[in-house]
Amino acid sequence: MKKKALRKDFYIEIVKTRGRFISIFFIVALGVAFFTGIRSTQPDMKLSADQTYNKSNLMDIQIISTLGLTADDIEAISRVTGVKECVGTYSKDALVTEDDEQYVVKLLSYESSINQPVIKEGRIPENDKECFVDTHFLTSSGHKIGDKIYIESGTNDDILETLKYKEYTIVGSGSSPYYLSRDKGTSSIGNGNINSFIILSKDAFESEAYTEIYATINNEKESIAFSDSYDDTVDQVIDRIEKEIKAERIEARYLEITAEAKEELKDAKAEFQDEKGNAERELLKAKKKLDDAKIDIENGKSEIKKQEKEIAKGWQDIEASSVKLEDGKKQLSDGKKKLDASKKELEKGKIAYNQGLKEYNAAILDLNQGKAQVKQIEEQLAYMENPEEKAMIETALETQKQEIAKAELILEKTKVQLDKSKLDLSNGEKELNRATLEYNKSNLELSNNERKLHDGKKKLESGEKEILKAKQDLAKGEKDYKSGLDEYNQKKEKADKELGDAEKDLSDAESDIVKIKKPKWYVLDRNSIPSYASYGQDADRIGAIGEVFPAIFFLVAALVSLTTMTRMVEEQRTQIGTLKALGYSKFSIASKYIMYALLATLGGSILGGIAGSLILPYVIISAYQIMYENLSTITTPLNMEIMIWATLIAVVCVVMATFLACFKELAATPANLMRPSAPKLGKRVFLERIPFLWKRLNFTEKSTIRNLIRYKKRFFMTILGIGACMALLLVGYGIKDSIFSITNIQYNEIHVYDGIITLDTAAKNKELEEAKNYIEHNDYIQSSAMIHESIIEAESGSESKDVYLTVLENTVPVDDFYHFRNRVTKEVYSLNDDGVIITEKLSKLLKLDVGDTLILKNGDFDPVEVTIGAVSENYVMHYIFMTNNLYEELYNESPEYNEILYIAPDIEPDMEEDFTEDILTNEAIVSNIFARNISTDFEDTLDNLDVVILVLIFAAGGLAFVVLYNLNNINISERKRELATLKVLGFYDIEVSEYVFRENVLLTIIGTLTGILLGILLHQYVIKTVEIDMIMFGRNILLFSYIKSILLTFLFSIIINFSMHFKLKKVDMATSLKSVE
Amino acid sequence: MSSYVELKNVVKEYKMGEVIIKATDGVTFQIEKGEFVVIVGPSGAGKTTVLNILGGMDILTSGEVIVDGIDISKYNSRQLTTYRRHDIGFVFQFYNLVQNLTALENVELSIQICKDPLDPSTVLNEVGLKDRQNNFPAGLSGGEQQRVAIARALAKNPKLLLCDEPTGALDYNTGKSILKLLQDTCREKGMTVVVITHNSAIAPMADRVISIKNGKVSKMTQNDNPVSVETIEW
Repeated sequence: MKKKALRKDFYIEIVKTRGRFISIFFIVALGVAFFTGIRSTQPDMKLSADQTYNKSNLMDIQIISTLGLTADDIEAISRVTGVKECVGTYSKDALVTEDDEQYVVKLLSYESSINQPVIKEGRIPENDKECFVDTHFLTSSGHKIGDKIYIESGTNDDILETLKYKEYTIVGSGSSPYYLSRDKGTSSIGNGNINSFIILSKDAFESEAYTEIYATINNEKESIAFSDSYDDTVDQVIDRIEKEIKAERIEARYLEITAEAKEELKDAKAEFQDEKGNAERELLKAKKKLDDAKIDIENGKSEIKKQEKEIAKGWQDIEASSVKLEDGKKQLSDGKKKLDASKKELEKGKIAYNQGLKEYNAAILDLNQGKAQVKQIEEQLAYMENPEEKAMIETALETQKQEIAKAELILEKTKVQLDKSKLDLSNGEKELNRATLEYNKSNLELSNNERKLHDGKKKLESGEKEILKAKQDLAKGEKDYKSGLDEYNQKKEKADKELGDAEKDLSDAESDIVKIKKPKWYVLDRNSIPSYASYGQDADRIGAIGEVFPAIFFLVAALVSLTTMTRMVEEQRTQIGTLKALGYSKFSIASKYIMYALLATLGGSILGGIAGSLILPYVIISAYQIMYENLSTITTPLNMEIMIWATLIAVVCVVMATFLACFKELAATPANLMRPSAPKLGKRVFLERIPFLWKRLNFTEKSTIRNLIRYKKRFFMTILGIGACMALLLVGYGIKDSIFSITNIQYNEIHVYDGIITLDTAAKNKELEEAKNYIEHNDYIQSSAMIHESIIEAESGSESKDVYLTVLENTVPVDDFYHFRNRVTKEVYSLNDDGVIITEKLSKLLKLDVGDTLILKNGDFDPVEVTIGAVSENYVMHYIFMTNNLYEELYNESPEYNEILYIAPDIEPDMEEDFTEDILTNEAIVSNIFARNISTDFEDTLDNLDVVILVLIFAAGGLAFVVLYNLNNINISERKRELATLKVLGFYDIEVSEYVFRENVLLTIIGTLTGILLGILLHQYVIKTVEIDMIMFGRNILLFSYIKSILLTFLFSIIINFSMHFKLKKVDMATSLKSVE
Repeated sequence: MSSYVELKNVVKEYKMGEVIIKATDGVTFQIEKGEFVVIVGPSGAGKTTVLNILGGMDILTSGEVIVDGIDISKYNSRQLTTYRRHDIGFVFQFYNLVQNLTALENVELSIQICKDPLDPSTVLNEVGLKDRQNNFPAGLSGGEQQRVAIARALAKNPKLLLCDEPTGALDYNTGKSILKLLQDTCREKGMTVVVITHNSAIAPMADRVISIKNGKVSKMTQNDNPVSVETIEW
């Protein structure tokens, strides 16, 4: 544009027709923004993640072995070419218990180089008593830095087997690059959901082997995470590890482990023998003790009997003694009486003796007197001579003398008698004294005996008491003995069992050693990190969406530009003619319009490109950040390549459209151009051939319909614009519906059970029985069913998918737990022994249908073929359902039931944790998951979609506004005369508006209908793109979403039309009087 | 007794920035019912403004416009619309037909909004378009299009038929035939017809000729013996 006048005209044109310029500018900006934005989101997401990962030096490769890893392994790996750094770490699932809360945590060992945590607060643990926790842990538990936490194993094992201490002090909090998302996986302990990670220093772990080895690679090309070149580099290193050292290290570890195990077994055996000996000895000792006790008891018993006998005899003796005593007493009193009598007699004797003696003495005196008389008489005789007298006297004397002699004799006799009496008396006295002495002695003895008797009684009584006590003691002893015996028996039984078990264990261990498989090594890349893999997939999905959406915008932009520029060229027909007449070249003339379009497009592209690549990825990544909360960096660089592409496409579209618009006019002669263009011929439309309908329309309606058909470009632009608006809204709401149907249909209509309990199949039968019993008798559980569920491979042709094989017991009322039905027809299927029911997505992926044959590869079993009996509606994972009869037929053994499904409608969400905790007290139960929690996880992602929906609504609104505004603008400018005429004819403002709007309304309706169609197709595309293999999103859009989308589309249309009403009011009637330009 | 149409001292001012332009500066005239009136004047004299005001398409600055005894000068825009709707038939220089509607439909378009319309088909017959009723405007000649326009105006059965340079875009003969149609309509139906033109040659055919110059009525003559348009040559 070297011509000054033209250039001036150009600038004035832009200012004058700014509405038109801006509408091209904006539609292009919108298209480019969407294109650039969505296209950049994929690389921006990956770049943001890469930067987050780089900051923490996230591992590139992780090696896990089924038998743990050693320093030698690390050494070996670090020597592999391409490995930059390599460390061994520990990890362990554990519980942190607080009052009544329990958190399942992943304990990790701190590594200064790889997988560095991002510190938000505090610091890294510096000794083995400190820990660094997930920020999430602090928020959920309410702990602060400096608090102490207590760690439990959550299993029967002591946590101290793996850790040095149970108590750790929190010294810092933050996030780990390993966990980008809040979801930290599941665990077999606690409530089964890992809440947080906790990093301990390496010394805090007491483990013989490393749990995993993390390695980084030499990323010389600095290729970013998720990129092909990164994957290639990692794959090469993984390949090398697998090929160069894996086999060798596996062998080494195997030998080490088996040697260790053998050694251990040997020790164990020895220990067992010791233990066995000990146990036996102890038992023997116990037995002997018991036996002794028994003998003692028996002895005690006989002793008591003896004692009792003795006491009885004692009582008899005492009885006898007391009789004797009584006798003695009687005798004694008799003796006393006798003694007293004797005394009396003695007294009497003495008195008699004394009498006798007195008499004797008197007799002596008499005698002596007689003698003296005799002597005197003799003397007197001598003197007497009378012999007769003498003789008479002599005779008298002689008689006297005789008498005296007689008396003397008598006396003599008396004296002897007396003396004898005296002797007798003294003897009697002596006797009496002796008797008295004896009596006294007897008396003493008696009282002694009495005392003795008394004592004896007392003794006997206390003896009796003692016996009673002894008896009690004995009873107790007997009881003790009995319980001792019971205990002993139990102990013995237990010991026998334990020993038996131990022996079995030993033999098991022995066979186990033989059975020890060589360890398996898993050399994994970052895709083994769930959040890494899902993040990458999410990014790719956004990328896939970017394939379609922008195309619609570009199409609309092209149509808008085409109609706008066509109108512009038409309006300036006369000017073009004039310029041509003045001798300007076609190029000069066309360049005005092309430059006009180019300027609008370039401006729009630059604005759209910048805004799009800065804002859209930021919004989308921020939305994803809700899920991937540890994504610490959001990088949205200007993506020049995409921007240039978008601009190029936009420019080509619009310039081509402009060129096409100019082409016709430029071909015409100036004279032709100077004349007003012949108005387009009114055309009859198809509808007119149906007079029945046509007659019913009034003129504005007829005009509307003819107009619609007359301006095809405008028609398509509007239909496409409104259609795209409608479609975008429908897709937005539809995506939500589709994901919602996973939660809603899958967990409310198809998998109708409330929870799944996973059983530990390694548990003992008794424990399993207990668990089953527990569940059957749990108050909350209404009904339950045992199922076998395992992951197997389903194959058909070259396709193979991992699926869940679910075997249901025949006795189970399947309908209570699963509903099998056709998604479309809702026909209900039932499971029978003839074939399996497979899920819809699996059927699609394997391209199999009812009646086809499917190959199942189940672990060590030979592959088997089954017939598909039905294809059932399903959204999450792939399932193959079969009856246990079929299973037995296929595998010749009955399935091992490892899960229990249950229905427990009364469990409120706040009771879940307690319920789970309760259930997990069963040894045989590994985990319990509530179906609704599975669905909650999905609902969380639903919330993220709100932002995407908002973006779509804005885009849809923008589209609708630009298109309708443009349409109205063109319509008004083109029909100014017509509208003015209508006004002159006396149409009220509202009638004039209606005349135009009827067309818009009709276009909106047709556009909406088209949009519904387009939306359904687009929704299908998006859903199929976004869908991962394991999940089938719902294919249906809810009625409510249609309504919402339609209402929004109409709202946009109404807003635009309303604003246009004022523009129409301003149309000057005088225009109708002017000539055609 | 006042006239059927009376303009009293009609002033219309346009503000163009600071400058006030008076399009009409006290126009006063009367028209009797059933008259064929020609308003003549050079370009820019204010004819169209007068017509606009008379047709209820513009609001005057001051003055009075009385049509059939009603002062429309104080009407608001909606009242003016109603006035146009029921009382005014308008014929434009460029016919202003709706391109998308057939001749018949164009007539029907105007009558669907008025109170007491004539039968569109009959009216079209009367204007001489019996056989072309179902043609689209683009398929009609200029004269035919103008006839459709006249039919459209007449079918409304208006009080006034206002024609703005009705022959301006037509060739001589066609123009003449259109004027004839208008004159006949006036004579046969007693319709009051006002024709605006810069062509003073057609003045003899009018009952009343109003000349406008510089926004004022320079001369108003009543022609007691109007001639048929066929006799006029220019």
